[in-house]
Amino acid sequence: MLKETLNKFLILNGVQAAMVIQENGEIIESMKSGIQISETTKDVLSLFMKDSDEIAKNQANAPLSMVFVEFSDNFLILGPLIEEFFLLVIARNTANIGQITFEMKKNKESIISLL
Amino acid sequence: MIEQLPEGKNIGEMKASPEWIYSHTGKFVGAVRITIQDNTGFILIKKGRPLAYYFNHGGIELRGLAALEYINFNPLIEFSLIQYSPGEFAAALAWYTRSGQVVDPDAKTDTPAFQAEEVAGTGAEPVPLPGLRQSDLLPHEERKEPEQVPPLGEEPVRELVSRLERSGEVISAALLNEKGNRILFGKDEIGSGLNIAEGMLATIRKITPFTELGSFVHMTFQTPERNIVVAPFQKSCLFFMTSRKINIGRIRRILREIHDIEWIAG
Repeated sequence: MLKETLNKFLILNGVQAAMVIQENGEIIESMKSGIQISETTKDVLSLFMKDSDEIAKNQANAPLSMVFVEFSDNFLILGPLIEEFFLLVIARNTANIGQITFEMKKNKESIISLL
Repeated sequence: MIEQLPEGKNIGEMKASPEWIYSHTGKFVGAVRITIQDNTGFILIKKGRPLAYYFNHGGIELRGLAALEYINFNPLIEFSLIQYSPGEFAAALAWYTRSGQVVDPDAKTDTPAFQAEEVAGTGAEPVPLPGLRQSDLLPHEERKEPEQVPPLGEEPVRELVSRLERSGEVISAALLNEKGNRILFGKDEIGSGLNIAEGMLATIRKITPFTELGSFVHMTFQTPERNIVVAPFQKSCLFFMTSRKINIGRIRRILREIHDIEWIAG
């Protein structure tokens, strides 16, 4: 069921992966299209997750609303779900960011209910 | 396929890590012709921004991301720097597109790529082959001996501040580099923003050398009240804060509006 919800993101133009990930970087569930999540990328995502969580807790002293990282080929959007769970979307940098963030908000409760 | 690229001018040959190529070609426009174990390929680069990748691995043609991944997988590669005139570069891109390749769709924005040279231990040290100097990476008309580099100027920084303020949406801004932080404006508003930006920068420095998603362009960290943005410029990092009323698209536009300022942060 969680896969089905994550699959909704893959329908969006340019989206390559959608996953539920824990703050320690462990991927709970993921759906991918046209992208390989190598061990190196998993390590990078894990580091990214831990650091983002750390920044929110210790430096921002505020809840994390969203983290957006743009690379030359792709971007990452990370949004909090509940407790230690986050939704991470990887997309080509031609994808519509507004559409993706809208879908993230729209499906947030549905994903939380499945965790 | 490589033979069909414009001839250009070979300005030197080197052996270095892929990260070194991306971080040391900030003013280079042309093709990086790569050789890995007798196989060849190329990257079309415009001022530090890789726009197209190709690699022929034993007859198997890799293009785009696949080529990029293969090239980045090698810790040390040999390459030639082929400098193009604007016309040659345009011809190379046009030919690449005509041949069915996908050119980085954001190419028109010329958004600067991350300068990763400050990341320690991320790849082998560059080994210049005889006859190539750092200044050789500059376009022909911009080459200067080190003693001819103009002194640090305030004008570009003033222009940067002016454009950020003109956007009407940036609350505070600063330049971050290893020499220390320099608040540009909004000192009273900056609060914990600088600490957050430093944390974001540390994260970027850790992950960029290993990510397969391309070179770093920018990062926005959103709290309920603020957008906190870091983006690379030359050897420094620009940090600014906005209210949450503006979205990521607007932040990207602000970055595009200021990216062309030729400045050196002291």
